[in-house]
Amino acid sequence: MEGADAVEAVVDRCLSRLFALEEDIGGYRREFSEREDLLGTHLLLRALHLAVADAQRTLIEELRALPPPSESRRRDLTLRLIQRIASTVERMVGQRLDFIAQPHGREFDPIADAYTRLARTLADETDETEVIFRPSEPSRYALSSSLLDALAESLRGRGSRVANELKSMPTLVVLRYPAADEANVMQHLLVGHELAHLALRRRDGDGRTLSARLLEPSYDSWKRGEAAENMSEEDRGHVFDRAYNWFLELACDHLGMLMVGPAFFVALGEHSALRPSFHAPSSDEYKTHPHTAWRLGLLGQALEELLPTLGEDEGDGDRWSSVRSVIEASRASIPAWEDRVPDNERKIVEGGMDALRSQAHSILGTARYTNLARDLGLVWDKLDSGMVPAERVCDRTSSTEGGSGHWQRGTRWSDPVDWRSIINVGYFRWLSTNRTWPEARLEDWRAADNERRKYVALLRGSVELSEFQREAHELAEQLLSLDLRSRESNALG
Amino acid sequence: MHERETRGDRYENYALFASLALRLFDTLRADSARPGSRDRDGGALEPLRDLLNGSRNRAIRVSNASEELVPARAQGPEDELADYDLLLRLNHSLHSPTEVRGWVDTAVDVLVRLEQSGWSHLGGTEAQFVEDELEPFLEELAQLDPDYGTEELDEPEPLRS
Repeated sequence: MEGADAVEAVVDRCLSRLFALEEDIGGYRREFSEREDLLGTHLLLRALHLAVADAQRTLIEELRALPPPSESRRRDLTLRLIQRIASTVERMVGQRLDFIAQPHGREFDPIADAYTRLARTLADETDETEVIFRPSEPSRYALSSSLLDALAESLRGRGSRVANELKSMPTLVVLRYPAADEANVMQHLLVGHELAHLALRRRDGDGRTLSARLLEPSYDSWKRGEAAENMSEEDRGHVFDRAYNWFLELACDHLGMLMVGPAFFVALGEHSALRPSFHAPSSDEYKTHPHTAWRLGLLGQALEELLPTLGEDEGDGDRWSSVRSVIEASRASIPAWEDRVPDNERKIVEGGMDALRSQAHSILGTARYTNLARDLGLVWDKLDSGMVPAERVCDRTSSTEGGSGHWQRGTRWSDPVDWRSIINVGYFRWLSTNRTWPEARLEDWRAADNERRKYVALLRGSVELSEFQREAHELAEQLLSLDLRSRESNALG
Repeated sequence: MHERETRGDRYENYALFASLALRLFDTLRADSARPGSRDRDGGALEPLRDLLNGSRNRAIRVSNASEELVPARAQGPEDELADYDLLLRLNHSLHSPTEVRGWVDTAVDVLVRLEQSGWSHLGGTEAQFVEDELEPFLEELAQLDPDYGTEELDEPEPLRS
């Protein structure tokens, strides 16, 4: 049985751990007070502050209601609970503070808002979503689950009113990207894959995720077949786990490419080709992700359906030929995958992918990229001329040329270019004109690398400029809707 | 064990809810709870039911059973697998999907009847099941050491010398 002093010591330790968290939260709030762009981070800090304050209050209430020493079992259970609450909050809050310790840098900034807009259209319609971008090691991309769900669940399970406040906040997720590639907007097309996970996490009325709904009919059909009949439950479980995991990744590749454009295929190829697993002879060691060659092989097939829908057969034949030649060169370097994928998993996944393809457009909605045909020539020509491909000039001459200019409300002289067009066309153009550099002399290698960095910087700046213009148009429309001129004349009258 | 999603958070919560449930059962046995405390601690049993139902869904999925999946808060099949693995790890009397389905059905039934009675008492066969089956499981669950995982673009490469 614990004495009063011992109990007090336990509670003091728990409370001091929570006070330390409170100080850390305050420190981050001060540190990021100037970064208004970090909306997700500020929301997260507010939620964490609420959770810690609630835990402090709960601990004090539990201490006040602590059963007397004569009820040793319940007193012991309550003390254990106090410690568990403190450790749960400490772990969950501490982990989330770790996520935001290093915010995305200046060079990632031009695309951060663009990807966040995509995320908002992909997640559950009843939900708002904020993405916290985090540069991290090692060189891989990853998306966390919702940062607040588990915290809210924890509070709800112990009857806290703060749970509802957390539930009413936007969905917050952390998206990790390779810190070493901070500036590489071409490589960051792979963010599209991570955002696609948000779409597959949507739930139906029964609480089933979209990914499960897409795959389950195919799995059920396989389960009724001969191959599954002769398998133990354990083996059947292994097949399902791998098929489900692989389907998730292949589905995200497919949706990611539809979302950010066909250069996603090239980005994944470049990313994967450097990994030892690119030439692995089989999928046997793979649990969570399918063989890279399979991923690229399926994407290559999907491109054959995608390119005509993006306008490959319409005009600008030379540019499209260049795009096609880059894609063909990429496809030619993919190892054969057909013999590296086990039959059972492959059969299940293919059924799921058929279901996904038939619903892909409705899943993505307005997040789907469709502007390649419109922007291909424009962006390519501007880059050829050394111009920033950020805007499309709508009309170079006034309709009343020679006379006094007639101003018409709402007339636009230029439109921002879709940021995905800038990166897609820029990526294809770079590869179609710079594919011979590995054969250059040794001293040219570094120079080639520098050239690519400068080129990517031009694309990055172009995206930033087009985003500025898009925001300016949005602000202008908001101001016009306020009808300031008539308000002004009313005020003067 | 599955290494994706925020499984660590789920396990952390399960440990917390197990601690609350243990106190609730003790309170019901002593029949001395203050007003309100039963409802507060009883809130932990709902997410624990989700753990059980997620495990049951997993068991149905890999067996030839034609039973319906039960809606649970799990993100998807990967979380149901994590729940199933957890149940097998902590309840040493369960070894197969069939055993999991049977045990979970009884456990969920007991929890639902307790909740429907307004936490009025713990007696009879329910008390026996709680004492013999649920509490040992919850004691183990309350000691869980969580971990953390995320969804990644590609699988970590094995270390190569």
